Amino acid sequence: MRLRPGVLLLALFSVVLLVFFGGKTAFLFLLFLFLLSLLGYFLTWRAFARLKLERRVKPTRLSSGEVAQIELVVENPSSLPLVWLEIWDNFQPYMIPHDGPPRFALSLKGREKRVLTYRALLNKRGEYNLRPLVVSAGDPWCLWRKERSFDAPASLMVFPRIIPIATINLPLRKPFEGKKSGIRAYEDYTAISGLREYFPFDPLKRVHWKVTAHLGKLMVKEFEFSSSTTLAVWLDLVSTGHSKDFMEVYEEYACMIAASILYYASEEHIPTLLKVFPEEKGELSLGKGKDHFLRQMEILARARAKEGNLLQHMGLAAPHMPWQSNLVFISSVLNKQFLYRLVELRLRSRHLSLYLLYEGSFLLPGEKPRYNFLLDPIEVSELRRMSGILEEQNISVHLIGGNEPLEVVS
Amino acid sequence: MEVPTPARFLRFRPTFPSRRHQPGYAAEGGRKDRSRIPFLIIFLVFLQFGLHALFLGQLTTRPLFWGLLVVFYSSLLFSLFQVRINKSLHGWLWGFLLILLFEKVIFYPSIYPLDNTWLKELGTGFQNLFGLGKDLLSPLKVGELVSLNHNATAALFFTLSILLWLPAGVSMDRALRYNSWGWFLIITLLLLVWLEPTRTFPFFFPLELMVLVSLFLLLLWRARAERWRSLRLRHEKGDLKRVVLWSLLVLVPLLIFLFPWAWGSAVHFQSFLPKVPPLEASTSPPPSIPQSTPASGTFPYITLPPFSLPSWVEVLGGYSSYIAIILFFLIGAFVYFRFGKGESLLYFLLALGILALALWLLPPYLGPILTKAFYYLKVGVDSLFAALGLKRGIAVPGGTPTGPGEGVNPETSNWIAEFIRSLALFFSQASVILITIGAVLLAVILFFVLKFGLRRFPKIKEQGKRSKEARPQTSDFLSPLSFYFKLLRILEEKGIKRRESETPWEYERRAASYLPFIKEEVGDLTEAFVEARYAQIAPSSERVLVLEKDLAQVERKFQEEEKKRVQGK
Repeated sequence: MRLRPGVLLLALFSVVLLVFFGGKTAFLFLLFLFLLSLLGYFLTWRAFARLKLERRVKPTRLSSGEVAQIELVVENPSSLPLVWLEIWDNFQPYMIPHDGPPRFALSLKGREKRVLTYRALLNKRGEYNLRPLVVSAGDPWCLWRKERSFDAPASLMVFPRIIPIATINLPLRKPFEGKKSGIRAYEDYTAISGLREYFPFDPLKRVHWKVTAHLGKLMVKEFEFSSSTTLAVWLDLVSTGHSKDFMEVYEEYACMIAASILYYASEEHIPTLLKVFPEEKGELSLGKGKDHFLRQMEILARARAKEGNLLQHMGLAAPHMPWQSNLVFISSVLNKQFLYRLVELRLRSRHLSLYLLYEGSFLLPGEKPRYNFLLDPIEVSELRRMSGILEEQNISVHLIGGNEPLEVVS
Repeated sequence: MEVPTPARFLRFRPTFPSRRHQPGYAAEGGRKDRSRIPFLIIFLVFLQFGLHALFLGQLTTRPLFWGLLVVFYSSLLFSLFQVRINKSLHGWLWGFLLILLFEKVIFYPSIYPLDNTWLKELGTGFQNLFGLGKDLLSPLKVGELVSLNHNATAALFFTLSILLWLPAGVSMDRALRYNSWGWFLIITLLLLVWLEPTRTFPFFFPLELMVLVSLFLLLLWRARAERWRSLRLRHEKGDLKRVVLWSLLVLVPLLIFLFPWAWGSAVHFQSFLPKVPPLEASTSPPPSIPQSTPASGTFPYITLPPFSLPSWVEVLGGYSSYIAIILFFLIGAFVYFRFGKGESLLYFLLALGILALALWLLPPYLGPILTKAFYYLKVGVDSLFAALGLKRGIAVPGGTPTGPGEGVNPETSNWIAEFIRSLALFFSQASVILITIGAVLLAVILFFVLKFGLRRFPKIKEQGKRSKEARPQTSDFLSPLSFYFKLLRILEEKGIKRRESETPWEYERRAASYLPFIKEEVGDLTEAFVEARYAQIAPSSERVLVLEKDLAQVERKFQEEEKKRVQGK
């Protein structure tokens, strides 16, 4: 509990007046001040005695750009009133107050309970643990003021923004096609290669009933063989060699692409595997379904750029990638060593789609491009020239500049 | 998990001072600050004149008192109406000095005899004060201390309070906003005015007290509202009312408790007993006090031979003298006198009773009751008072010493006093119109005094120049720049500050991604800024209009967002 320094100053002033000049005025003032302070002290002292605070957040998991509603339940179980109360909820960075700053002043009657509602706009992915509430109270004249932190734990998980891939003209609509594999590991049920007569022990679900009816004998479908239908998404968040500002923007956009691809795969029931470099904790194995997708989104929400050696991490992660899966690699690295390693990596996968955000960002749907005189960096030009050669190696390179929408890659 | 990004980004930071105090506010259609000051002064002076004429029956003759009242009330009301008083502070200062000069150099010397001037009294007072430490127990010294006239006391008291008030006045708004000790200065002044030594008519007191308490509560309400508004603390109006109501509920009993203490200006003891011979003196009698005839016009000291008894003793204010009374009584009762067996306790208790009265520990109306109790108990009250050995006198209206013995009535001492007295009587009996005319004249004089004081201070002019320079230029070439800087300021207030490393386009993209509803406007303003700043292309006047509209649109959209918030609530 803190006494205003001015009160002491005034008390001192009155004492000085009393000592030097005497008089009723100063004495009465001192007395008045003393009694007022005493009353104020009592009121302030008991302010926090039984105050109850609770914070609820809904929803706790939301997508970037959505608004979370926070409810603050303030209760004064005491029968004495709480003259004034100021509650400060200090949002974390990137939590934008949607309906005014999250600060409240109120006065509570005895045994009164009030629910304060406010909203936060979350435009940036991440995990937000709400900070403790700072509550201050005091007497009506503010002679005394007491401040206390109330830990009302609540957390929010903001997933990266998902760009609907199906609605824009992207090669991502068919991002996983490649050459037919020589290894007859899986049949591709989406592509019928022909019909043949029924043999015993053929599964009945392969019977082509229409043709059977037409020909009068049992006919079964034959499918083309595919190496794999799994999708691996590798996300490069290694900050070595990049500026902090660049990484701040880049990691957002890279996560956006990864989330969009994973969402697409989830909708198409394709098993996916997400690997974030150089993140080590919370890795998931291959899987599919909504739960799997949500867990991947959580990883993406928590993913942060870190220092590390990308090539080394790639080397370590390559053996764990499912054999002959479609690999999507999202990065911003433009050097040749990286390309050589990619070509090596391609040998383990069926097809590699490389998304290079060399400026760290791209134009989101609806954004208009800015007038821009800047030329592409030399590395980008070289890579564009090499893209034909890389295509032969079944590596599609998508170079996305800061002033280009995702559509340009098509 | 903490976001590893610059903490300043998107974090809300309250910006002070508020929009109202930023330069160019009035020029942009904001409220003009000083327009109502003269009216306020007139109103307040009239109010005070009217109250005094109605309840006091005569005008107080002290210019300092009037000056203080006017300043106090106007400052109070300025802050109530949120009038900016910062710049006029120096005007107040000049006004004070002039009033003080008038009172101390022209007014008092013309009324009081030369040997009772303020400066002389002050000098004596300080002399006594410095002598106090080494010889506290000497009755003579205390007697001299008592003679420190209350003109000097009041003058010093007020000067000191003004010195304290000034810094509070400088930051009146801030003091209120931050709820700081500016409050207590207000309370001090409230009490000072309330208990000003010239206030002797008890029936005047309750009304003014009510006015002051209501003003105080109004101020409390304004201050609380201002704090909550400026810190953007969301609240309901009912909450504010509750705070004030509870303040009142607690304040009123306190005032009722203090009321009897403040009512009277003195405690009178009158002995109803015949003179009683003193008790047997001890072997070490108190030192004999040389009796000197004081200069004419000053208050004579009490005749205090150790063994003669006055039948009438008056104890009047002064806390330091109360301490002295305690000491003297204890010394007198337990060192110099011997009591009979068992009497010492009775005397001691009685002494405590008297001291309780003298120290205002009991309300004054208990005085007669206690005195009568003494009477019925047949206690030698005179003996006690003789042991106290003091007679205290305190100057009441206009600093006049009163009480038994010869006093000086300044109102009849010379022709100036006569004139002022007749003027006061005239005003007290004149019609309301005459009072109004007088009040208006005084207000006009005060206004010009303040204005004069304001002009005399060159710093204010400099500040004014600076604030003019800070206003945005309207030149076509510079306007995109100023618009852009204004945009930066607006966005910074909203939590998105431009980094040093960011180009305008990068900043524009980042800002637009977080505030998509002002994307187009920000884009246009950025484009115009880049053209004007880096390509040195001045925009056409039509473009300037468009940009101006864009900027207004940005502000409007933020306001709309705010409205949506309110409606949603």
